[in-house]
Amino acid sequence: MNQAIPRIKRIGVYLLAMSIGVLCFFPFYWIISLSFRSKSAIFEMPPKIVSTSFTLDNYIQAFNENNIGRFLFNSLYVVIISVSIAIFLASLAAYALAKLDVKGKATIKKILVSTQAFPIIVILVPLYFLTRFLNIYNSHASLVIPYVAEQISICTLLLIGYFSNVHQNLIEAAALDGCDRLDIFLKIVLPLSLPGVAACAIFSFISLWQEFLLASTFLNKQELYTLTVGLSTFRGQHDTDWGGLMATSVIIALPSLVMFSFAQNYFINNMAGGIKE
Amino acid sequence: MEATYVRSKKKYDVIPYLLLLPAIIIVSIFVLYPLTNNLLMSFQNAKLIKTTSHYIGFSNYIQIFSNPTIWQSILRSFIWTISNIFLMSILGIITSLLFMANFYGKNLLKAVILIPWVLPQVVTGFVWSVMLSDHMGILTAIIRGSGIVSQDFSWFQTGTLSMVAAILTNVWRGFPFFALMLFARLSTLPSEQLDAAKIDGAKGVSLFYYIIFPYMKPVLFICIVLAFLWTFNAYDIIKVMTNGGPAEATLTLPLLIQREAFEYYNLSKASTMSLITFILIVIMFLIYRCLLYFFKQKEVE
Repeated sequence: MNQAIPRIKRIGVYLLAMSIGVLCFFPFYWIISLSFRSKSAIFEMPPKIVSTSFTLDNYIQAFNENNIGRFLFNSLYVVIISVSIAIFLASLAAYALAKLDVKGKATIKKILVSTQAFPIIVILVPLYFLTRFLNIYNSHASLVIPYVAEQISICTLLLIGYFSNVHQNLIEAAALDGCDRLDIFLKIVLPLSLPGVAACAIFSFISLWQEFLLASTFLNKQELYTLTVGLSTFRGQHDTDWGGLMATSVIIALPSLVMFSFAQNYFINNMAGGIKE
Repeated sequence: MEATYVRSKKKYDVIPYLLLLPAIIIVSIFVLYPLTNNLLMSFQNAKLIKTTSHYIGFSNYIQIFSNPTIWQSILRSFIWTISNIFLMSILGIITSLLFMANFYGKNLLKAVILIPWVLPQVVTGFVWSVMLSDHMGILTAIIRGSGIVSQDFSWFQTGTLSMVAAILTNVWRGFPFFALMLFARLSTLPSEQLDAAKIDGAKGVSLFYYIIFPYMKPVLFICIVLAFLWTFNAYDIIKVMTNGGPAEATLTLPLLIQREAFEYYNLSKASTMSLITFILIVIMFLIYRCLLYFFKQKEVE
């Protein structure tokens, strides 16, 4: 087949592939490259694609002066707690919806799907009043609770898919052996779906890790900032510390990219599965 | 086909409902209740400073709709969304067709095009701001060097170009999703169908028009619906790149709501705007369903 393609066409394919590759990769390279440049090298105009300047100052300053360590801790703290609670509650709900006898199953699923269509911005103001009412405004709890609520529905929907794949015969055999439904969940359904549960947790992590709207609206004290909000501390009234900002961007981007590379196959399978439906 | 569920011997079985309860309570209180609360608040006059608020009828609606700001924001939101979806679809289709060809490094490219999709949006906004900036932007330097524009060309001085810059950034982030979804679909295209069309003499454009495009259409629809929701409600990239400026030229609905509520402290007004946004989403969804129904009818005929 390859030989059959005329030469010009092949060159075209490679040119297109390379331009798309460069288009997608270059901005990422640029973040990393700028984060290691000295202040003067960053402001060179026209900029050099490969710079001879190399320094770790941007990272050191980000940690020493802009308190990035604190923001990193806050982000990890908020996201890990939210993902854990969301996955725990979603797996209970998904088990009931996938394997147990529940009335109104279709309605519940429909509600879960429809909540996906209405993102945070639409409920921002009422959420603000709720956090005031619960006295958690300007604390990490004001992020954790909405994050959990947001992630529960998508996680439940994903987990229903994974739990349904557990074969009914296995469950019936276990039931005959005297396992009750909680045993079946803990000893059969959950272990067999563990890769799916892990993938689901990773997707929640990635989407909450980059959350910005709520975090920038509900947190007013700098020591509470998460990483995405912390980026704004590099922006002064008149000048911006781009070196520090890029160094922090690298720190924000890395966990997402590493986690995603673990779950990449699941991501693509999920998309393929979505298409079949 | 109904699966056989594990049943208990008791007639009234509460355990499944107990398992569902925590999830349902949390979603109800923190997603569904706020959604309805918008409606209530839109008839009140709550402000951040005042503690009490009372019923004021349709006054919020009258104030909002008699001011051009909301209309301009709605228009901007649609320009932003439609341009984004249009460009994402085109780039996505081209990339998915590229993946149908054989070439070295295909798997590498598939991994690389996921970078924009996974990169946190705030980071994306900042790095594109840098690349397009006046005094340190590599893309600004390239476009000035090419001689098409003058030496003092700037992306963020005029409203139109600021909008273009934000749209390009968001397209960069979104098109890989289109590309991979469409490619996943195309990889299930039966090869006999392609070969038969080729024997009939279809190639290039006609092959795309008669075979490939109709086959990818259902998935393209799904992509467009999802992209509509993400893009219409997008906040991070515009906030970081232009903050709605210059002179409100990039102030889309989400930025308008956030500003009204947490910079001007008009919470009830912001609630009303949220409700308007919500209704717009529902209307677009209904239009989509009608179109889908219409197309299905046509295909049956």
